[in-house]
Parts: sequence; structure tokens; C-alpha cells
Amino acid sequence: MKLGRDGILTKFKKMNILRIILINLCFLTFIVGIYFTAIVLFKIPTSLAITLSYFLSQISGFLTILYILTTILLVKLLSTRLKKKPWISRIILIFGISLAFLNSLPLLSTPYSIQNAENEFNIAYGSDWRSTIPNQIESYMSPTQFNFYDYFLGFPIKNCNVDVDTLYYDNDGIRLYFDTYYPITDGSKLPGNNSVIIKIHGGSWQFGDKSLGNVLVLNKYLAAQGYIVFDIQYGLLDAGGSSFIPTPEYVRGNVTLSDMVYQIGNFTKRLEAEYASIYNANLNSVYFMGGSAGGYLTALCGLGYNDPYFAGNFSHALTLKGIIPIYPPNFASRYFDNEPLSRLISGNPTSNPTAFAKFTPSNLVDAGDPPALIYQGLRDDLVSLDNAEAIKAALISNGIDCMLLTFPFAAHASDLIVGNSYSQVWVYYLERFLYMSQFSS
Amino acid sequence: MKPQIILKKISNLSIFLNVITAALGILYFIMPSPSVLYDIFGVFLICSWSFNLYLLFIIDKYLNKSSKIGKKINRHSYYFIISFILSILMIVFGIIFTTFILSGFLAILGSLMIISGFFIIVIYGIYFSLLIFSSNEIREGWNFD
Repeated sequence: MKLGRDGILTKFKKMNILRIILINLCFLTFIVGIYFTAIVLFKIPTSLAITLSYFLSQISGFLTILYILTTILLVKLLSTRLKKKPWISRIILIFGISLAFLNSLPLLSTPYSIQNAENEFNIAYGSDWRSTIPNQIESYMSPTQFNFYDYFLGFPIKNCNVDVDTLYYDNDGIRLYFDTYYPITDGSKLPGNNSVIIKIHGGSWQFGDKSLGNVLVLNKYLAAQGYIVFDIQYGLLDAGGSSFIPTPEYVRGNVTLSDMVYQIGNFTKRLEAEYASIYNANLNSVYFMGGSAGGYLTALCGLGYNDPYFAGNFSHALTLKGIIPIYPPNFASRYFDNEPLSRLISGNPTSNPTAFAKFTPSNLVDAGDPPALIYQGLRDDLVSLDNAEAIKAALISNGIDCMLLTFPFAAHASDLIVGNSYSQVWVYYLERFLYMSQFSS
Repeated sequence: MKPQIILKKISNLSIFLNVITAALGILYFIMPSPSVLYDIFGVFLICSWSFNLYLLFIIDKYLNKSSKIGKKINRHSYYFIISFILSILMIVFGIIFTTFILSGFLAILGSLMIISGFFIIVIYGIYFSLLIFSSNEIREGWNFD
């Protein structure tokens, strides 16, 4: 089809408009890219930056490719206009490649995370720890610490049975439910051997929920390996604030930390009395696991289980084999001394020192406590590394194994996308810890 | 080595990498179990994407955009970049959907976004590499001197 002079002019104008739109979009991508890169690398204390930091380091590999593509596109779009000024193309190229490189740092740091985890396992279990896992058992586990296909195409979702919304607590206007993830086949022939994992969600003790807010993909993955995962709710402080984290109203109220421990303890009692027989759960091998506020409660319940201060809360029929606190807050005086979280403990560190001491998990450690595997991001602006280090130091000083897995550039909640470079390494060592700790005395 | 030969070798290698990646991708989406074969798939995936990016970048240096074939390759390079960007975005959002939603419409949509994003990149990668490979000998299309 031949175009007339007007037709050619119209087509030329349209091409030009499209070119201008694309050039502007490229520059916009670069501006947003600078902001995103700053969030990945530095602490920016705004709520938007903190929220974005949860996700950006987890998808930084994709951002790297996007910035390279944007650079190529922009250089192409400007190449005809800048033939006499090639240095501008070079500047764009250097800038784009630098942006891409900085965003690839979380991915490039994976060997460091793996080496760190190896060292922690070697110290705890000896350098030949892998030989304690039979080949048949290991065939159910991730073969490598990291692979590109899970990173770029997503972590495959495993099949398991799921029972949702079982009511376990209804008191003082608060109703609490749990979901159960359990294997389709006989769990006793799988690595988990029907061991119980009590999974506690995060959300700053005020927000959050089981299921959607508690790494669903990992629940299914562990259930497929023969673990009975109880993903539970607990009472949350209703301080009137709001959050982007979905939170059911029926779990919120005038709740304290003591109430939360009581409710989780209540779950362990009902687990012993009712749920263990329903799901054929192995009560001789029980784990607490959770992230953030859930990580705190994991450490508190797991280490305070046998502490006289919490006597009467928990079932004594359960044998704790391990705790898995994920980016856990530890110091009560740091987190519960300001409004609104100060409502979680009565008094303050001066007027009620015993409570503040007992609600600091590292103070609860004794020689009878189970081993721990801790996840900690090194770019976590909400919960700093010294919290996890305090728990580790307390356990080690009591002769208990504790492996602290640290991840460079990883922000708070950096384990949510299970295929990302942190989670892949985490899952690899988590499943091995869960298996090996079942046989510890 | 002459630029013409370099471009021919790169496009040849790119066709090979994209074809292997597509074949292993089909296998992976049918049977996504942990295997050493898929570790190799992951490496091929990264290599094929890298070669696609390199090809997109390098052709501009030698392409004669005033010739008919040059115009065609230039047009497709834009289409490929835009499709690549959209596919990467589809895969990212697909992964986010499938991470948080395990059943229902959004979960299916998430999986479809990942699969289609992946195949758009490799299939366009094969087509684009073939286009460069097959037009490599056409003198008017390139400024190799």
C-alpha cells in the first residue's frame, strides 16, 4: 500500500510522538530506579520506602534485567539524534549498567550467604554433617542451595492436604482459628516423620493473619515433606492504627503479651488433647517457627516453655526439638517501652523489671532448651542483627546449638517470595535442620 | 575477527541457547521436580537472556537502517525490547500472585503470566537471532566496514 505525502507526514508524526513517549518512559524508569536502588542499599526512614524495601531486594534480579533493557532502548532511541555527541550515549550506558550492577548485588551476594550458612552448620554439627542425612531422605529436599529457574520462574507449589479455619479459642470477644497443612501420603515415611510445626505469623503484634500473611508456599512445601504445619492465629493489640497487612477484626482487642503466650499455650494443650490424634501428629518432635513478631513469640514460647514464669501455660506432653525464629525482635525494653506497644506489658522497665526481663527471650535460655535456626537480613531496618545475636549468644553460652543465617541486602520480610535468592538458601538449610534436629536428645 | 563473523557467531549461539532453553522450559513446566537437569536449565536461561540482550545492544553499531532489511531488523529490535520488558513484568507479577494466592483465578493467572512471559522471550529470541543470522550475508543491511 502506498502512502500519500500527508499519509507519510502523519506516520512520521505518530512515530515521533511514540519515540518521545518511550524516551520519557525510559528516563522515568531511571528516576524510579535510582529511588529503588537507594532503598535496596540504604536506610530511608519513610513508610513508603520501608514498605518497598520488603519486596525490592527479593526481585532485584528482575530489576537488573529491566534496567539493562531500558538502557539499550534509550541508547537506540537517542542514537540517531546524538550521532555528533556519542559521549551522551556513553554516559547513559555507564549509568544504566551501574544501576543494573547495584541491583544485582543481592543476587551476587548469594555465595556469601551460602558460605555463612555452611560455617554455621559445620560449627554446630561438624564438617561431615551431610553424611547424617540418608540419600533416600535427601532426595525429598532441595538438591542445591540456589538455582536460577526457581528465582526467575517461581518456586513450585507442592501438593498437600489443607484444613482451614478450625476454631481453637473463643474468649473475651476474641476468636482464634488455625489452618493445618499435612502430607497426602504417610508422613512417617517422609523426612518430617509427622513432626509438628507451630507457625506464628508476624505483624508488629497488632496486625497480620495466618495463611496469606504466613508464607503459604513454605507451609505446603514442609507439609509435602511429612511435617504437620499448624498455622495459627493469636490475639493482637487493637491500638486503633491501620496497616496494609490484612488483619481480621475478631482477633483484635485489649491484648497483652501474657495473653498471647496464654493463647499459644492453650493451642499446645488442645493439640495434645484433640488435634494430635486427628492428624497423627508426632508430639515427640515439635517446632515453633515464625517471622518478625511471630519470630519473637517463637523465641519467647520456645525458650520460655520450661521457665517457671510461664508455668501452666503450655502442654507438657510436647517435646520441643527446635525453634526457628525469623528476624526476631529480642529486647523487651527496646520494643515495649513506647506507645502503643507499651500496652503489651504492664509498667515500664523501671517499675516492672521482672516482666521486661522475662519477656526478653535471650534471658529465658537454659541448658534444657532446644536448638535454634535463625534467619536475619542484614539490611533489616525494623529488627537489627543484635537481636538475633543476643539469642544466639545466650544459647551458645548454655551449650545449645544455634545457627544464625545472615543475608546481605535482605530487608525485613525478605523471605516472603520463596524462590528469591535468600529464601532458596534458607529453605535448603531449614529442611536439613528440621530433619537433623529430630534425632537430637 | 571481523564484525560480520562475530555477529554471525553470536546470533548462531543465541539461536542454540534459546532453542535449548525453550525445550528445557517445556520439560520444566510439565515436570517441575528438583533435578540437576533443571540446574543446567537455569544456566541456559541466564545465558540465553544475556545473549539476547547483547545482540540487541550490538546490532545498532553495524545496522544500516536506511536499507530495507536494516529497517526490518531495527523495527523488530524495538518490538523485542518492548516484549522483553513486558514479559519480565509479567513474570514478576506472576511470581507475586502465585506466592500469596495458591488457588482461584489469580493463582491460575499468575502461572499463565510466568509461562507466557518465559515463552515470549525465548520464542522472540529465536526469531530475532534467526533474522540476524539469515540476513548476515546481505551487504546492504550492514555497515561492517
